Amino acid sequence: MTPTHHIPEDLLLSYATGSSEEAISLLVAAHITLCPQCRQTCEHLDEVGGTMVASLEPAEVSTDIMDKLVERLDEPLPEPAATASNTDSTYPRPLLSYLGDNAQPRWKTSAPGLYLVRLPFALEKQPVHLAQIRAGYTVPHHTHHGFEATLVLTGGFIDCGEHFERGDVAIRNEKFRHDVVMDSDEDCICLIVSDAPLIPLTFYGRLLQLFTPL
Amino acid sequence: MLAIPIALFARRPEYRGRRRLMADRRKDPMVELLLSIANRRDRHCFKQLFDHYAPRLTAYLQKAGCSIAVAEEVVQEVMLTVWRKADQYDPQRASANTWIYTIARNRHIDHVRKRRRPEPDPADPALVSPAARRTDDEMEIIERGKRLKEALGSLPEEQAAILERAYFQGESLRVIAEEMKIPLGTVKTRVRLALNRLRKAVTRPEFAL
Repeated sequence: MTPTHHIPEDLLLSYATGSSEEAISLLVAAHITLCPQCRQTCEHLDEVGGTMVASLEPAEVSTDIMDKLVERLDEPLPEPAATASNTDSTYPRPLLSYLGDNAQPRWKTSAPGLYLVRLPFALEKQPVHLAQIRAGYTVPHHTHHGFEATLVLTGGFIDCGEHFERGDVAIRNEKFRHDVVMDSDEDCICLIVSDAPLIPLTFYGRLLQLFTPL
Repeated sequence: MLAIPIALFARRPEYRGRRRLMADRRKDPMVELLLSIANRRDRHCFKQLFDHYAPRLTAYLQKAGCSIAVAEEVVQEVMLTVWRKADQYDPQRASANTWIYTIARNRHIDHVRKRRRPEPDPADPALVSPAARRTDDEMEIIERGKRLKEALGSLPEEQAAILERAYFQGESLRVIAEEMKIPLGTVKTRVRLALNRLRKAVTRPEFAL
């Protein structure tokens, strides 16, 4: 089963060209692990970059660079950075280094049926959370101040009449006023990148917000 | 009797076309150099590769806003990475141009922007493979590179300018819109048109993905 809700091409382009924030890059890397179609688009965008750079007018290079380089060719290889390895495939590998030592999220209860972990980032402009939401739960009617992207890792939900499941990305902004209904057969774990806290539109939602930093 | 010469005549252009295609199907010398480095740690080949790429990478890094000193430092790191990781290069996945560009981009993000850029790991058990894996051979990749180059050269100036800012200056579309004083929607439309054109260039039926 491959995803049907993809990342828009302009975000893939900013990932490919290196302009996206770390939070968005993480979302893209996790999605393209699960989505061969967007992975292929990214490979194509790299091909475009490679062709553009290869076509540049060559610049002058000082002659001693190669000499310096030759001296370094025999240097011992740097220790390879310890790469996180996963035995179960719930979390795409790009996420693991953000989850801490045992590569398992340390869930904190935010509200009954809702668990959150905030991932550590050097740049805090865009908070990133992992959320685990109980099967059958409804996230009350709400909207957003800014951009919010959600990548489904387990389970699924229905939002604005569309079904999202593993690998799918839902991108929402202030134009959306919606509630989200989780599938009833499995807890939903998702990765959420957002610019701003969500704005609940119901009394129950506001009450819930007292608990939830989402 | 007359039909035979006409038939021969009619076939000739196609025949010629095929010959030309055969002639185009040379190996990419840069790929050969990379493979020699991977297999034999051939320093002479590395020097040739350096002579080809260092001036282009320097141009790229200078366009990206690096001073000459920083550009030189990053080029050294990139070429050292090429030397060390040549055995990881797979000519069936990417051209030498593309592979070396991605190393340069990553070093630049690391070194100058001090930012992490998570990437998918081909060995990840979570990785979902395409239903039908596209079978690239090296020649196809070279052909695609040529078509892409042609298509890039024929992009309207207003589209090419945006791609250059995105790839070389590493600007987001929002910043490009501000800098060029055009609406973000227009920038996005131009990017979409440009990328559609480039995709079309590499997905002509005979080079279908």
